[in-house]
Amino acid sequence: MQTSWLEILTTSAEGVLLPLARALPRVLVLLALVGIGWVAALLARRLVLRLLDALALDARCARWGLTGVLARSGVRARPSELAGRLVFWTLLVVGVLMGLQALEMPGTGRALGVILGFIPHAVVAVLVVVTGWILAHVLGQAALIAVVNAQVGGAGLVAAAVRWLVLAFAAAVALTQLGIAREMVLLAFGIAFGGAVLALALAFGLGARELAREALEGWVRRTGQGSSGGVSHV
Amino acid sequence: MPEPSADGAATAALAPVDALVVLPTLNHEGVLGAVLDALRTGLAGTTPAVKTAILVVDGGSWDQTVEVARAAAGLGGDVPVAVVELGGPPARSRALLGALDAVGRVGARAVALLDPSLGPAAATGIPALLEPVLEARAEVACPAHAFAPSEGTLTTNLLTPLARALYGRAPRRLLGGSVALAGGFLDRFLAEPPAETDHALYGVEVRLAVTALAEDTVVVEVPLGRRPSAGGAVPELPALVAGTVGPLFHLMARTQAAWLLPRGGRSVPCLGTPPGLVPDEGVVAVERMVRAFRLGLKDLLPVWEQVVPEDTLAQLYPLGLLAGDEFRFPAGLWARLVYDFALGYHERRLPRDHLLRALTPLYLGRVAGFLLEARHGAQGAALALAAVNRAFETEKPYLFARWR
Repeated sequence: MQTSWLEILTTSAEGVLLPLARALPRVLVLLALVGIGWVAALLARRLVLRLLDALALDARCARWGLTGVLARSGVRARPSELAGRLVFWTLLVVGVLMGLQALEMPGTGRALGVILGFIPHAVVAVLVVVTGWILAHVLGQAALIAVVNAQVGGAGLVAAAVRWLVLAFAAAVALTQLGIAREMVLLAFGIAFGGAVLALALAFGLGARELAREALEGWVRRTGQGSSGGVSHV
Repeated sequence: MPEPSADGAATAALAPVDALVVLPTLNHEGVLGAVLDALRTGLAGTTPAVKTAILVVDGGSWDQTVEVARAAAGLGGDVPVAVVELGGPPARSRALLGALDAVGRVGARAVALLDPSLGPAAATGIPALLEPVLEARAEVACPAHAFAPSEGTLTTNLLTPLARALYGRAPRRLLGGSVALAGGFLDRFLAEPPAETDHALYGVEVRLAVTALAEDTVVVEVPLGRRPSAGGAVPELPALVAGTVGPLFHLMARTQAAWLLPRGGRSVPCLGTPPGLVPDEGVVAVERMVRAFRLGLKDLLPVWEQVVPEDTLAQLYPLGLLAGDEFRFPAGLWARLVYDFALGYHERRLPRDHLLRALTPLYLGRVAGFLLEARHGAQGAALALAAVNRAFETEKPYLFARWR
């Protein structure tokens, strides 16, 4: 009974401890790689921040109007800080991926291959969305100011329509880039965009003929008068 | 500066000349012939010791402007006319830049610039403008016209008060459509690096004015009677605001060493009796301007909020509730708003074109308020003008405190 109990205990311990002992170096390598990745990411972030400070990136972005656009889009961080964060997370993810590779778990290699192959598409998709976001904001604001200055009502509606159209376009491009339901996205965007344009044309041309006529007449009248009813400005 | 074509040889052939009148043209076929006739008649009447010439610089007209100018040049006479055709895309600013560049090759003692849109009436005043410059009594001579409150409201309510508060002096009309410049001043101006706003609608004219006011240039005004009205196509108002206010805001950074010094605001000296205000013919309707302001207040607040502090915006809200004839737009509030927009432009809080165009509804509100104040006769108009000049002066410390 006693021998049997010891055998069972030994076998069980071996069953648990041996795989653990075999896996332990790989786990340690995983932890080391993640740790090294984290340290490297921190250092790289600091280096990038110093480099961009030396290049006065924040001042340049402020001069180009990019900081203002980001702030209005809800992004309060400085552009150099954003670049630093991007570098930090990229290196950290690389470290984690290398660590996972070191685990040599079944299927890890293939999964990592898929993930690594997906990264360039994801980066492009993120860039498309960020550019689309900024462009949507700038064009929406331009439309808002133009419609108010044309002294036509509904400026907010027009600005929102412009903003959402640009965002929808950016989202469609990003999803296509990611390969997510490519045909469906293209088809859905085409139908939605074409439908919206057709609906607006019909609404303006048929439903709001009088409004269109008044708006055009008002525009012609303003142009003819040099704007603002007989006042010369310069 | 744009490169002139082979016509540059014709320009150089005008030398030596004492006084040169330059007409930057762009689609002025309807008025150019009469302007050239009036100029020739006026210049022929000057003393024979002064050799005068006319230079037409075309910025790419697609009508018969160049043909009209060449026909006038072919007539001969005491006052020769040369024509320069600039290549490239048509633009008024290019015509003016090309004109100044061409002037450098002639080496005249005095140069008069004339906007042909103002017609022959403005051309008749050119000899009087050239006189103080030729006599070395001034380096820059601007026209001083009698005008009605509804004429040149962007000038009277923004450009002139702002320039006057900044540089301590300004002519009554910063952009008079004609100006006479001493050759020495022009050489200094041409030696300056170009500004990125030179290609704006009135970029060059504003830079000429700012350069003269910021330096210790002798600037005078010459009384020339009633202000002639410009003909031809009028640019849309937001483009006009961007094309005039933009260059002035832009040059504030370049000339800050000059305007950060304390100076008292005054008009430049007038060689003669300064012309007064004349009443408007009929009542100018302000309802559309008030409506444009209200529309801006309703829809543009998110844009204004990026430029104007909350406490200043709070003073705008009650104005939107004032009905018709009760509408007012205080000069002090207007001056502070203009300074906020100048700071926003300097700090690039918005894309600059958006910022300038977003000023338009506020400007229309101010013009409506100004015209309602000016309805109480010439005295009311004079008081309203004095009030806006004083307001820009009073609010100047606000700008100083925030300018970085």
